[in-house]
Amino acid sequence: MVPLARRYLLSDRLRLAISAGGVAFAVLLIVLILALYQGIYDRAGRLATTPPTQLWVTQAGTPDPSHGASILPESVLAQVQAVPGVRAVQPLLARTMLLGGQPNSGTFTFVMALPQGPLQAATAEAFGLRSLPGKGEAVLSDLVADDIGAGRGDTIYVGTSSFRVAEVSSLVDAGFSSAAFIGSEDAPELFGHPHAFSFGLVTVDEDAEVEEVEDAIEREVPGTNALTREEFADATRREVEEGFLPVVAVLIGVAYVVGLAVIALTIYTSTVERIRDYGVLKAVGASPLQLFAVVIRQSVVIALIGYVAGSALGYVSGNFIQDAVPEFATIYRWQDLAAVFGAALVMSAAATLVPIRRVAGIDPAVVFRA
Amino acid sequence: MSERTDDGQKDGETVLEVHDLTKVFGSGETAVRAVDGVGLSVKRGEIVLVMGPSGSGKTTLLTMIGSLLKPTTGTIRINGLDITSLHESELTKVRRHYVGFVFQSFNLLESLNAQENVEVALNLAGNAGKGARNKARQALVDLGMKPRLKFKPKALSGGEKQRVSIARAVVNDPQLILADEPTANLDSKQGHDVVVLLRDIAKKEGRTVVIVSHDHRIREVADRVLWLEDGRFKDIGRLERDPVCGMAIEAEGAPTLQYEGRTYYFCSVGCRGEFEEQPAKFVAVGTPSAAQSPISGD
Repeated sequence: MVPLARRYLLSDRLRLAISAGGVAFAVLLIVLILALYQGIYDRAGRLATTPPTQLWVTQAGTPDPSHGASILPESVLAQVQAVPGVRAVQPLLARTMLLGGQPNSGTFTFVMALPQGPLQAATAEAFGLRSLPGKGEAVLSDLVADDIGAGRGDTIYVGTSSFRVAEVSSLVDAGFSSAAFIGSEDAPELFGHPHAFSFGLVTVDEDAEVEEVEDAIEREVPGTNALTREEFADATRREVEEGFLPVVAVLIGVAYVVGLAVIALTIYTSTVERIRDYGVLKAVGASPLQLFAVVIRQSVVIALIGYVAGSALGYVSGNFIQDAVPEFATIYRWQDLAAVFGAALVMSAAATLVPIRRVAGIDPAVVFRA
Repeated sequence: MSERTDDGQKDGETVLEVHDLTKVFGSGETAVRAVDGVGLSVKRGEIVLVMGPSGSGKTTLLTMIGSLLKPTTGTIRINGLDITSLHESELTKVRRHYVGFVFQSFNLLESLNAQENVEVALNLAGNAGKGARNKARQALVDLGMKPRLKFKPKALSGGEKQRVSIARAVVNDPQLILADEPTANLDSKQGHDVVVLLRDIAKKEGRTVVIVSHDHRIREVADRVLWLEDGRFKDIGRLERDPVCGMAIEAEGAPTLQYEGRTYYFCSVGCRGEFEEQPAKFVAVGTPSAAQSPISGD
């Protein structure tokens, strides 16, 4: 077969480059936005999934640390421990506070403390702490350390309280871009609730069903919510969904329309320029479907080139952005890439609707006009 | 002049039959009868030349015969197949296998080389691959285009482009070739070559060729010359050649001018005016005067 569509595309390489570039730009934006969204979404759930726990116990009505501080009296620990099926309960103190190089300055940071408990060591290890901070010490995530320009041995402030940086660690990203651990002796006074804790990290007996224990805790310990790791992760990710998803959808929509417009204009102008060619083809025996195929092939090729280039650029630029701005995390999922691929194909098909109507309406007698 | 139907030659297989063909553009007071009750019968191997003034309906007639335009009334049969009753999808097959077109402006696809321009017609008819490539190549080689197979149309001369156009027209082996002003954009030598090719297509390959043209040179190879005027075939009168544009014209009623004792005939007052400004230019280039070389009708 004579590759007519390819010849048409290659006959004007500049236009091909511009149109494929336009689609690539749209795909780049879509891939990058999705990767950033997935990165933020994934990171938002890390707090819930990092500790070696099966259930999280929070103050009732505050299942999301982003939206409200959970404060539970110490007595709850014993009540939870008494629930059948509960093997161990580890308290975790946490609160979002300003952390910086000066008092009442810096960046909002999720500050945590791990008091003595059955899962203290395992939880510390899960968060990547080499050792628990002692009194007056803090372990900063590398993100917050970079952000405030602090290093090991420096003095930092949480609110107005000063701490010496004992360690800078990734804290396994800790679910928040800015996270820190302080000594458990300092936390009650700093957080303002000396005989309370924020979350109970619960492990269940081997022969117990997690969901049954979850229900039992809520039933037998009034004023609490019990959530599985996944439920707690979803609760923390809801913030991302509610806050970012509409914006992401709009941005992706705009990028898609830009890509669609680029490819549609390219194919339309190309078709109009070659309307006589299509008339000739019709006159020498081309069926409408054969003519449509020539138009659609051009559109699909532009979309595929744009998709490949845009995806590759999206991946490269995403990694570049992550290196340059560590607060951003990018995750490329094959599902997203497949969806963008499908969307690109739909884009290429949609872009041909008007040109195809133009081709369908060609009067083949046009070829007799000199 | 009286309206008539041309019945063609007496012997041979009839390839094209046109009966009472009419095409009306528009409606009501603005309606134009471009073709008005035309009848025509053409045999296998016959070359028919349709002449007539501009706007006489020649191209409309050719377009309808080529199944590119639906007639208002009347029938067209090609190899016995009534194409006027066919659906568009069936007409596509008619264009692929029954008819080949040769155009005034060649209508080659600029993005394809000469061989591909021929091959694409085969592809559209369902032939692809090496077989189609070889057939396209051979069609061009047969027309003396071997050195130009891979040339794009813009690198070809007018005559070469028309050869490619002819190769494309015949490559699917249609019985009927329709040529619209095939020599109009060619110089004398190239025009002559194309005329010879069309003659060979008819006489050596047994195809039927219907040509619409103003070019008097084609009369040399035509078996019949028909005169179409106001959408109707008319008895052909005495034909003269306009010394300005070269168009064959019917002497009766044409604008005339006496120059150096001779009568010159023109297709329009425009050509006559151009002649009046520089008569020597049109006589001196070797254009035979009407008196010396009248183009007479059949």
